[in-house]
Amino acid sequence: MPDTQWPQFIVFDQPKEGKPPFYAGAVHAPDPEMALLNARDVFARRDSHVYLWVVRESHIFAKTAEELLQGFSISSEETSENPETYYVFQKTAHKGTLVQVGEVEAANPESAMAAALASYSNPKAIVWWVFPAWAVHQTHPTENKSLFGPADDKPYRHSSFYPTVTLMREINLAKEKLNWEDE
Amino acid sequence: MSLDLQPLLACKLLTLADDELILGHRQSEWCGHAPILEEDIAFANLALDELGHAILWYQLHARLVGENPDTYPDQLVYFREPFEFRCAQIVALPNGDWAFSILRQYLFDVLENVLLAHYVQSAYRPLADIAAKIRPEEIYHLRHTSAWVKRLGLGTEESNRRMQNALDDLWPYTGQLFHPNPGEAGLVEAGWVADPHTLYTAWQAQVIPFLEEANLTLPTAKMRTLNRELPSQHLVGILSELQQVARLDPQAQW
Amino acid sequence: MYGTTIEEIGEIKSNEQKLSDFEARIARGEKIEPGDWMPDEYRRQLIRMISQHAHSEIVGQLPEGAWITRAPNLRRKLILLAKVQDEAGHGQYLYHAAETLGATREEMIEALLSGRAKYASVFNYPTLNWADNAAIGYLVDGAAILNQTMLARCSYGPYSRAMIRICAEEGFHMHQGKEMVINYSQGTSLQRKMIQDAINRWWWPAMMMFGPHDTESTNSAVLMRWGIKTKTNDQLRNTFVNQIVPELHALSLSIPDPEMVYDEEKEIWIHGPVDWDEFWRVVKGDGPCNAERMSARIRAHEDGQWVREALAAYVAKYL
Repeated sequence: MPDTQWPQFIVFDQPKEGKPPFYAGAVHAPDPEMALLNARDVFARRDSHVYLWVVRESHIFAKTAEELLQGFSISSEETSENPETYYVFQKTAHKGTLVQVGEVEAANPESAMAAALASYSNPKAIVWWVFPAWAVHQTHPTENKSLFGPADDKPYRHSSFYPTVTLMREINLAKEKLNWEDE
Repeated sequence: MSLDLQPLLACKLLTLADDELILGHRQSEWCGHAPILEEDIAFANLALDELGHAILWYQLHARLVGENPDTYPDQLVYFREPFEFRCAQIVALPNGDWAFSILRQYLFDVLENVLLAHYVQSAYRPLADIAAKIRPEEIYHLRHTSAWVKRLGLGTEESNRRMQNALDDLWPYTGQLFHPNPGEAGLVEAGWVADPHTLYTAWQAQVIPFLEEANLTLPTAKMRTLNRELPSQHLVGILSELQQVARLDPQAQW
Repeated sequence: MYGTTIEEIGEIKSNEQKLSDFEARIARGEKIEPGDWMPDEYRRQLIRMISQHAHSEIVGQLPEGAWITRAPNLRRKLILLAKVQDEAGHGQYLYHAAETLGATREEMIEALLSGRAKYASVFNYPTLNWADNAAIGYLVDGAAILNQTMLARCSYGPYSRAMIRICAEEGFHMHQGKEMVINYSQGTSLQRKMIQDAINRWWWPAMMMFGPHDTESTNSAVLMRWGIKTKTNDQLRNTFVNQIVPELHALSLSIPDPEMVYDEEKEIWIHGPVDWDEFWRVVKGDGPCNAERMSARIRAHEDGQWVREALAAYVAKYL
C-alpha cells in the first residue's frame, strides 16, 4: 500500500451559541472520528468553542467570485434524487475567513451553488462554499466539558501569564536608582 | 480518626501523582517523533494533562503533610531518590513502538476513568474536587486511545501482531495497578478511596471485551511484582535525566 | 431549475491582462484565494516558502523537545511541552495552506526528507544546556514574530490566515523565553553563566533567520511586488537588533558582536558583519545538527509507515 498522510478534513469552528461556524483550517485523518479528535487537539487549545465540524475536503464545492465570472454548468441529466440540505459558507471581507450564511435545498453541488448565489446574493462575497449537511461530522454538546473545558486550565499558553513587562520595569528602576545614587 | 487517615491518604496520593508524572515523561518522549503530525500534537496534549494531574495530586499531598503546595511538588519530583518514588512499573517501561505506547496509555486511561468515577464521590472533599476537575480530561484520553486500539488491532496483520506483542508484554504489569497500598483498607472503609478489588473488576469488565473485539488474545501469564516499593531499573534511568538540570543548582529558581 | 445550464462566458483575457489584473488586486489589498488565477511563479514561490516554513516548525520541535524531560521544574516542563505542541500545530496550519496551492503533504514530506526542501537553518544548531531554551524563546521566536507579523499581511488568503493564527500563539513563546532570560540573568552565578553562554551561541543564528543581506537576496523583489513580503530582510534584522540590544544590556548581558556600534545621531544600534560563509554552509546542509535532525525525522516517518497503513486499512475494511 503506498504511504499516506490520510485524507484531508476541513475543520469548521463555532465559537459561541448564536455565532455562525467559520472555516478554521484542516486536519489529516483516516476517518471522521479521528478527524474530530484531531480537530480538537489542533484547533481547540485556546478560545471558546461550542461545536467543531469536520468535512472531507472532497465534499466541498468551492468557487471564488473570480471563478464565478467564468460560469459553471449544472448537469442537465434528470435526477431522481430528492433535494438535500447544503450548507452555504461565504467570505465577504478580504482579511476574513469563510463563515456560514445559511443553507439551501438542492440535488447536487452545482445546483446548490446556483441556489446559494440566488438566496445569499451579496456583492461583497469573495468566496463561496457549499457542501451537503450529511458530509458534516460534528461534536456533541454533551461532550463539550471534556473536549473544550481542559484548555481553560492551561493559562501558560497565553502571553499574559509571563510578567516580563513588570520584571524589566523593576530591573530598569533599580538601575536608575543606582545611577541616581552614584551622581 | 480522620487524622490517622491523612498520612495514609498522603501515601496513596504519591502513588497517583508518581504514576502520572512518569507516564507523562514517557508520553513527552514522543514529541517530534510520532507516526504522523497530528499525533505529535495529540501526545503532547496527553502529556500536558497527565503532568497537570500529577501536580494536583502532589499539591494535595503537600497540604496533608503540612508543606507548601506551591514549592513542595518540585521538591518531591526533583529531590527524591528512586527508592522514594511510588509509581507502578508499567509507567516507567520504555516507549517501545507505537503499539506499545498506545496500548499502555489505553490500559491506564481505563483505570483512570474507573477510578475517577469513584473518586468524585469520595467522602474526603478535597480529593473529590480534584477528581471532578481531572475527570473530563480522562474521558477525552480514553476516547482517543480506544479509537487507536480498535484501529490498530483490526487494521493490518502487522498492526495486529504488534498490538498482540504489546499486550503480551504489558499484561503482567497491570496487576500492580490494583494492588492495595499498606493501610489502604482504612481509607476504603472511610469512603475516601475506592476498593481496589472493585476497581479491578470494573477495569477488567471494560478492557477484556474491548481487547477481544480488537482481535487481541488475552495473555495467560502471571502478574509480576505487586510491591510498589521496589523501583524499576527504568525508573532509575528516567529520574537521572529528569532531575539532572534541577540538581545542578538546588538553590536556583528556574 | 435542474435541467438548465448556466454559462456566463467571461472575456477571454491574455496572460498579460490577467497578470496586470492580478497585480492590481494585490495593490488594492485584496487576498488571492484558492481557485483565483495566479501566475505560476506566484504559486511556485508560495509553495516553496510555505512548505519551508512548515518544515521549520516540524524540525523546530526537536532542539527544544529534547529538553522537556529535563525541565528543571514542573512549571517549565508544562510550558515547554505547550510550546513544542504549538510548533507542531503551526506546521499543521502551514502544510494546509500549501495544500490549497496543490501540493500534497506526502510530496512535501518526501521533499524534506530527501533533502530537496529546506527549513530554517537556525534549527540546525544544538541545544547544549537548559538556558538554550530561554535564548531560543527570546531570540529565535522574537525574530520569528517580526517575520510572521509581516507575513500575516501576505496577499495569499490561506497563508495570511495561518500566519494570523500563528502570531496569536507565538506571543507566549517569546515571553516564556524572555522571562527565563530575565530570571537567569539576575539569578545564581551558574544561571548567569548559562544564559550568557546560550546568548553567545544563539545570537548569530537568530540574526541569520532574517535571510541574506538585501543585496544578496534574489527572491525579494518579486516577493514584494506580489505582496508576499512587505519588508526587506535588513529592515527586519535592524528592527530586531534595536529591540533586543537595549534589553540585554539592561540585564547586564553582552552580545557576541564586538563590532556592534551605537550611532549617536540616528540613535540606533548597528550590528557588525554577519558570517555569511557560515550561513551558507549551514543552509547547504553542513551545520552541526543537520544530519541528526533529518535522521530523526526520517526515522519517525519510516517507523510510522505501518501505523498510517493500518489506519487506512481499517477504514477500507470497516467504514
